[in-house]
Amino acid sequence: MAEPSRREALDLFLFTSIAATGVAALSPLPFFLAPPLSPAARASAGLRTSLGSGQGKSLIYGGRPAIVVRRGDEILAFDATCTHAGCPVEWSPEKKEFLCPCHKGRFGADGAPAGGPVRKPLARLPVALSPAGEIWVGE
Amino acid sequence: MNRLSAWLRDRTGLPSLGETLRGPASWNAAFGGVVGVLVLVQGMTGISLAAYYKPTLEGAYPSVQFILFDLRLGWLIRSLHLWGQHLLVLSLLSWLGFGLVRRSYEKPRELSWFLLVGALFTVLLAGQTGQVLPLDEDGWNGALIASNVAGPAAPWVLGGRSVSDFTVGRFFAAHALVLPLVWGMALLGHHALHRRHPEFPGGTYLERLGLGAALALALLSTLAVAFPLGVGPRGSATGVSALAKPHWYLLPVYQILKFAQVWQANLALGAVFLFLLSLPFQKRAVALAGSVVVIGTLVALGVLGALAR
Repeated sequence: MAEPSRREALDLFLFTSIAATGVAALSPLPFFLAPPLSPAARASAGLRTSLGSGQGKSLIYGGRPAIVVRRGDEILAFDATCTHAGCPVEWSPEKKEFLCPCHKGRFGADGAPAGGPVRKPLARLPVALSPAGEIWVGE
Repeated sequence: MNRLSAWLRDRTGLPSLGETLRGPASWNAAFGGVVGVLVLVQGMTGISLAAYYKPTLEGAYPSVQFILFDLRLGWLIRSLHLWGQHLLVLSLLSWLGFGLVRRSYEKPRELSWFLLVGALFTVLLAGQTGQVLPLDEDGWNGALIASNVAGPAAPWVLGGRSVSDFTVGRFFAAHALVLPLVWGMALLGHHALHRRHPEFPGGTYLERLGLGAALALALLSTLAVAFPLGVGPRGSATGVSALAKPHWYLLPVYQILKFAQVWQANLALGAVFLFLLSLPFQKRAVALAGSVVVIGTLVALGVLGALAR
């Protein structure tokens, strides 16, 4: 490679400085646009006695749809966002399945894929029972 | 009037409306008028809607209802904006289809072609971001689906873990500021390049652009008045539509998603756009065969998606 002339070297220096100034000036933007994330507050799903076996209850946890399902004595909570394309699923007490209205995805009562194009299970959410028998979703 | 027009042309290099187009006679130039007038309508109705729309979680839906039911002619402005989007996508698709037939992508018009493909892509994005804004059931689903398509970047799309005030703000900024700037510049660039490499002569700007614009306006007004587009039921984090289908132009993606994962659908859609962008560098036979296969597949998937229950 030929030795750069003084003019070329200065142009390169000028270009680099201008580009660096531009990058520096824009650098606050990603910090500003980064999503502000706050931890989700736990949410009540009502009294355990109000939820019959095989029944489900929809609620909002951390601003996202969630569903609590009772299977016998077990109570399970799921993020009700379909793991396929992100539509909200709903619980069908008749079929004992979560159904997605968008692409006909199906999940079993344990959240496992049961049909349609879904591959990943529904995300489980922590669930706790208060001494008074109230169902709480979240930590 | 002539002196003013001559002064303007001298200072700006803009064409005179009576200027005869160079090249073989064609109605292709009418597409410029169609798309141009639709862009103007989208701009004017969009700005008008933005004057009343409230980009917040609680305020969005009531403000759209206010526009529709309380404001004088609000229903018309919104109907024009929604139908304008449908017609804009349709006319860009037809324009690109026309370009495929005429091989408008060949040297030296590769950049014009890229800009048109880019305009289509951003107009599709504008449609999707706009659909979210009323926060009816479709809007909620649209936001959730968009965040899912984004994968690990989902919090950046939603502005958090869930649909919130920040989500509406982001979609509004993208829909009303970022995307119009991008597709506006793409179309202006296309126009500038078209001046440098004119393709379809015969007829004047006034005849071709003007007629295209008038036809588009007539069709748009008829549709907007005869079939006013409203707003769906208010959405919520738990609300589920019985059947959520996207707009007609995304039905192929919808149909693919019935048996494929989101990344595969993204890949397929990306492949279609890459194919369009690669056309200037393909042999003619490959370009022709590829176009037939791509268009045939998209139409077939779209019809299946439209018929699906």
